[in-house]
Amino acid sequence: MPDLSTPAGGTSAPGAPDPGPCGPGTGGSLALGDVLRIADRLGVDVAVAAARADGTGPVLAHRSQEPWPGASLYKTLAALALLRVPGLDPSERVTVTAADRVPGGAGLSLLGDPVTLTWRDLLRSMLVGSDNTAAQVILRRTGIPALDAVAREAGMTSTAVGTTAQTVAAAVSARRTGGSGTGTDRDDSLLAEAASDAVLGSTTTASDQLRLLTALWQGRLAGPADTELVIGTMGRLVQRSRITSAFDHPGARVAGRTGTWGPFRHESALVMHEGEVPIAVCVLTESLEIGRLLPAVDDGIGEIAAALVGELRSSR
Amino acid sequence: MDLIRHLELFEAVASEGHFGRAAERMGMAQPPMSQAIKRLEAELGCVLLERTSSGAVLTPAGARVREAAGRARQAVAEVRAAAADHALAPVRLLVDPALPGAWAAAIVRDAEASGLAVDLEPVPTEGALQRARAADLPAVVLAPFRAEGLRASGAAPALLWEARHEAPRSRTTALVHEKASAAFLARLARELRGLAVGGDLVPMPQATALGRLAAGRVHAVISTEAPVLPEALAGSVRVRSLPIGRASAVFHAVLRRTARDRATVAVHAAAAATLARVHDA
Repeated sequence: MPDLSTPAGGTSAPGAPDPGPCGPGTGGSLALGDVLRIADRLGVDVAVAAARADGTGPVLAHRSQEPWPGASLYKTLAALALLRVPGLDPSERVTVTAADRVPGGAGLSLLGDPVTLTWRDLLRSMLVGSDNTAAQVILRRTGIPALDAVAREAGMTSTAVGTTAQTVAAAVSARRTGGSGTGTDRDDSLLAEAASDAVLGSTTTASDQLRLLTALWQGRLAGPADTELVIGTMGRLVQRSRITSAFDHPGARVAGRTGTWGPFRHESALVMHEGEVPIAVCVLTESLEIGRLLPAVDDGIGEIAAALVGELRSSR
Repeated sequence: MDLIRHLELFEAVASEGHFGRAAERMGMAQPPMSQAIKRLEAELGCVLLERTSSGAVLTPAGARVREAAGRARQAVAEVRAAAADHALAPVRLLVDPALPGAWAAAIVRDAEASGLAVDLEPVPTEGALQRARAADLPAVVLAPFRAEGLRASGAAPALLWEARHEAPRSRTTALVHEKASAAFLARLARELRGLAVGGDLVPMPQATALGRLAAGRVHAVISTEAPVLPEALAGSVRVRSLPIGRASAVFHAVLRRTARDRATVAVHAAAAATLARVHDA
């Protein structure tokens, strides 16, 4: 089991500047005011970080250093870790049986019979469909320390992989630190909901996601072919209802990674416009209710990303 | 040493002019009174009283100290009075206007039973959240909302009532609320769709809503209080409570996570406990 008290990654990268908690209209960025207005309208909590992927220009951030349960956001790390396994042939065949299956809404998690496919296709199923079973098989091959190593190289300082129960507990206890009061609260309902969930997830911060996207795009985490494979595969993400939905205009492409569990809906993405440096953007959200579809929140994640990307593109 | 207490004893001797009578007035024996005055004189470094055969007379230093001691005692009394005022001042609890009256009453009653005084101030959720974030004010707000920086109690769903016109001339649904948040309206509209109560959802005051219902200009009125209908409407309007698992108004008690004031924290906890007890299951 991973130790969630010691985050993966080194301490080399400086923290992104964060204007701290603020209400709509404050913080010096019009886009951040828009972000909070959208979150208020939807009734969700939000953390964001956004910047140009070449690392130049301003960083837009809100609550970007706070740990959140990141759910499947770790799958980008898993893909990069797999491609680094010494001597691994991506076209080697792997058979996934019923015993390998973990719960999930897509890919091999849906199937019942044995399936044989290559490591590369497992990677595709994990990134395109957010296939939990493919991710589990890949992690069994790489080991979690290999993901920690990628995170460290990306300069991520507060990201760790663990079960949903562990990652939710870690993030909830962090936000309770220093708080007052007795009795149970909403966080207790959340902990109870997560308590027996052994599906893999992560804790992360919006800043860390920004570091990962930036390092990935800059080619610091893999060779050119593997970088292209990961970004290209992220561009084929099945779930297009969040950030992708906000950039359906001609000349725009999105390479995204979503994370979803209970009240949490996230996406980290590279938003690419022809002839421009891509914008890396991470939007983390938490709703009050657990277990509803809330398409308005998916939409809102797109709106939030659009506000941030719009401001960064116009500040060139 | 307890300087204030010693000054009180000194003032008693000064006004009685006699150790024995002063001790009697203060409900103590003479030897400890004499010792207390000696300790005070040692502490202040001067002789306050001249012991004579008939009693005690103030020295010039003693006269000045007596005057100053009077002012000090007055100041201490003011300190206590200010604290007492504060201890008795009710904690203000902001509540969304849709909070059912029975719940509001239960919150105040439960709080008083545990020695807390509470004043309710109706404030629509959006404004209440701004004030709760800006200061340590507890609030009972209507979900969903952005909970950043706030400790939120568990969800407390309240029954919604529907008064439905039998032969409406409009598809509009009225919500009895002075200023409902966009987040709540969107959530409720989705739930009402699930119950086939369609049409636009428009918040309005109760009188407006019932007036329009009477005229058939809204097809239904949704409220957190069971509507009391005028007899004239009895034939054309049907009232029912909506099934709680399908549509409800969900309340949470919130307070800034960094709040430290004991009374404020206690009122938030009491409101949370009451909500957990009275909510509709």
